[in-house]
Amino acid sequence: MDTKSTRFKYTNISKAICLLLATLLFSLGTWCAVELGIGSLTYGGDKYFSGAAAAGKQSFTATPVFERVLRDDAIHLQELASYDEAGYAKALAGQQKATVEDVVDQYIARQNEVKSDYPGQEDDANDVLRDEIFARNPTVSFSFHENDYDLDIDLEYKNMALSEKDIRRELNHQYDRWERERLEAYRDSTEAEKAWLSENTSVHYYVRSVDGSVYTNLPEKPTLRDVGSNKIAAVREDEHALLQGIDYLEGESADVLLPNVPEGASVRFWIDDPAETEGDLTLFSALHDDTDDYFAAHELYEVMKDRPAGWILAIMIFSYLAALALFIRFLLLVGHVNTGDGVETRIAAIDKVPGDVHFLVSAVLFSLCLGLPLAGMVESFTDALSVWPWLPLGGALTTAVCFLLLAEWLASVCRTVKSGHGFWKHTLLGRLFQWVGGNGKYIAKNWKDAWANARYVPKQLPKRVVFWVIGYMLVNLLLINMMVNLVGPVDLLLLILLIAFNLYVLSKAIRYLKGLDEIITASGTDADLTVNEHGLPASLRTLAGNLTVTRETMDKAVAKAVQEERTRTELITNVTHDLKTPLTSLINYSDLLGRKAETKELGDEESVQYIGVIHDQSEKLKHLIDDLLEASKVSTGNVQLNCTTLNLTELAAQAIAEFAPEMEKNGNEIIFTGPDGRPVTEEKLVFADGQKTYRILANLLSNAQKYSAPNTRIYATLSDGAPGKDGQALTTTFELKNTSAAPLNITAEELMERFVRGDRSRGETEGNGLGLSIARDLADLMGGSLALDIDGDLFKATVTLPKHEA
Amino acid sequence: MYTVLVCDDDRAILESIRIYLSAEGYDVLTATDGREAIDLLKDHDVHCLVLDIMMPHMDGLTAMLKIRETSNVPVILLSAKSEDTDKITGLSFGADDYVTKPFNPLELVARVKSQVRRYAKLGSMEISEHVLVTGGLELDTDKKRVTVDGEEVRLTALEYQILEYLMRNMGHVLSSAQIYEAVWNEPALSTEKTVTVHIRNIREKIEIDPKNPNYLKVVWGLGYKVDKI
Repeated sequence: MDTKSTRFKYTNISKAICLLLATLLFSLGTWCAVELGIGSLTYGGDKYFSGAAAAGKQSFTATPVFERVLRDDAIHLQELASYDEAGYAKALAGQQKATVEDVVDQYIARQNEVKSDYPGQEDDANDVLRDEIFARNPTVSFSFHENDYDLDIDLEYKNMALSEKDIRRELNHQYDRWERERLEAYRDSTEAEKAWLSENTSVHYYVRSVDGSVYTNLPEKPTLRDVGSNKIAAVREDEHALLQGIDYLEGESADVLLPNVPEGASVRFWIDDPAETEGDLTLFSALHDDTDDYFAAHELYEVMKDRPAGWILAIMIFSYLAALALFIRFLLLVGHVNTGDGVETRIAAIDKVPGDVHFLVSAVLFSLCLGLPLAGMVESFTDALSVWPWLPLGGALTTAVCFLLLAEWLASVCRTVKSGHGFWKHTLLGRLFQWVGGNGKYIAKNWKDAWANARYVPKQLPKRVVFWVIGYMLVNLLLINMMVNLVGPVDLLLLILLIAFNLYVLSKAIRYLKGLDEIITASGTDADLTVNEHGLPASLRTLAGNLTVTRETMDKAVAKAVQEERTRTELITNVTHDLKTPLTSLINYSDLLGRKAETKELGDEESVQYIGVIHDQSEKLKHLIDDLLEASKVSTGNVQLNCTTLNLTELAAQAIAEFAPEMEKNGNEIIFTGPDGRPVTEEKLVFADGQKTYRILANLLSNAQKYSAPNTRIYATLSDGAPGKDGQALTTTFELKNTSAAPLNITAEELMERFVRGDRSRGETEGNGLGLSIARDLADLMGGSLALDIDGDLFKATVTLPKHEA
Repeated sequence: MYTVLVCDDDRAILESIRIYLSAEGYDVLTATDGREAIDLLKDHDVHCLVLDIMMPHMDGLTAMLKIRETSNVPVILLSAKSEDTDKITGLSFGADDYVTKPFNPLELVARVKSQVRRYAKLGSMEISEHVLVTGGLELDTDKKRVTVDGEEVRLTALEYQILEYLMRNMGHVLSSAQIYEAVWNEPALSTEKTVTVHIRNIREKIEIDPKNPNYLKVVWGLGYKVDKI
């Protein structure tokens, strides 16, 4: 893939271009959709999409938009035509009489019912009732619902303190008031209709209502000829059926009439009241003017009729598809960043907001952005036709904003998912479920534990302990329950009882815990266990006793082990001492024999040779006994260490000087350097026993001297060990490398064992195999270590000693 | 003719020591326990006593304490115990030297010689200010001469200077670097090896057992010192 294009591909610019284009195209699509919607609403879907509108085949007056305006006016006019105040008042009055009678009947019935409640003493009961009723400031009222013509009356019987006559009068009075209000409302609504019509200046009307009053803005009553000369039009028959009381002029159908009306001309139609005015016409006309809905509807019609619906549809489909494609592209790109070294997945700061919170905020903003303009659209859709041309633009802008909001949220989701966080996990709800799930496991586990514990039968503790616990809970529960239910001094008594009971249990528990704490403390110390068993609960007394027994047993075992160790060392010491005495004689006399041989006082060559062997082996035995004694002491830690601060550089130099002459005899050169191959100049201070440290180095050097191949170099290296937390080395290491003369067919671990030498096949060596073991044990005793490494013939020993602590 | 009293309960060892010492021309008296040794000391003029520690009837240490009440004859303790503590106990009880079994017979002889020489010379030696002395080791700063138990030791110029520096600072531990700076008179830069090699050579010349030095002692990890004996 081309790097340049990859680099550009994941830039913010490329993502922004994708998103911007998608938004624009989506907005364009919405624009088209709104255009198409308005077009179809203006013309009726079938006409508009078939292209009939554009071809001018549909007249303005035949369009749904015109009909809608027309019907609106017709409804208002019908309201006026049906206005009859006198009739309405009459109807109300009739209603009043029935209502008041009804209320009074109810009251009487109620009175009778009350009486029958007290049989045998009816009069008394009635009197009592009356007294009671009159004593309570009685009122009479009834209510009615504002929006409903039904009357709703409510008598407050309980407070009734009035006679039937009073009630009747009061009810009538109230009803009159209500009636007046109703009539006022009726008049108001008529006035509102009149006002609405008077505002529509382009509409000329002449309406005679049911009660004969005439509402008009014409100078005089129009004649049929006037109507005819003004080229009369009317709504179509099927629509007209909806408008009660509106009829066609001279029975002619709209289909016949409408084609005669020129575009933009005035529209008139009749309203006929067949009941009252035979042959008498109520006329209203809608004239074309630039301020009313007819004009707006016509303008919309003018605009929409030239729209190429087919193209708009095509553009809409294309825009939506392209927008979708670009949007998907954007979602694929989002979250990836080209850092120069490759494409990385990154999340944005906003993605740290939990997924569902982000969704909710986005959704609220989305619905606000979409809902508010939509509500406005619906409003303007029904009322002001002049707003309609703006709808596509408003729709497009709204869509753009909503689209961007959606894109923002979806991009965040994509980034989250791509970066491997997982959408669900990232949400608050997801976390909640996870938390609940985790705790569910915890609860389930604890439930199991609790169940298992409940079935546990104590081995030492008395079984009644469990009953104590349950009993404690039950008593508490009982006391609290009683306290809640009972009132008065008993309550206080129970409270005191509850406190006393709990204090008692608490003191017992604290005493128990105190005893337990003492035992724990005693068991953790080195000092002799002295738990005061007196005053402890029985179960703890057993525990303390057991602990003492354990302690004593352990003390005995330790003492025994120490004693055995001491005995063993003593035994070895004694044995070696006993061995030394005869050995002394052996060495001395073999030496004497050797001298005799030298001065030819003694027999043949062979005897001389044999004496030599005895002498050499005696010497060897001497070393072996010394080493054995030392190994025994060192391995049991039975050595006294006098650790001080030593300069390991000096010590190594001293030790090497002890062995260098011997090594040189064999042609071995020893090279003592630091890790950089240069002579060590600085002091390497360690905390160790000088004599023992020398012993370690001496053993290693002695090995190197004994087993090195002739004419090879031996390397001694002094360096700092691995650094500790503060970067300062905690140890110092001395490393000795030599090339073995014999093949080292053995592992480093085996070599460290006692009495094992590098070469198994050769018995005739100077060493006894204890040197490395002693060296390792000594290093261990001083807090250091000895490591061996075998690589072919290369033998490497590394001594690590703790650094001197400043 | 000097007399050496050897006391050991092991007759074989006793006899071998006798042979070696007789070969060197000493009169050798032998005893098998402490009491016997004390008795012999009363009757004889003994110049050196070789005393085993572990003996029946009266052990070496007890015998030595008794002997020290009346005599300051040099005592070389002989023991199978090789612990440092045993040595220190022995020396602090009044022994002049300490040899562990099994010993190199020649070494024992050398130590006896050393003790006898010093004992015999004691009192006759003139002590001048320009002679540095510790035990049998004498260093004459005027004549640039070093003697051990009266016998001259041939040292090279550097060896002599090192030994003189150490003996002038008797009892002080001196590191190789210090010694180098004092003797070579230039700053020490990892020249410890030179010093250590010289010191080893000196030890071989003045010590009976260079690995167990009597005079020029190694203080491991710190340096070297010559103690006042």
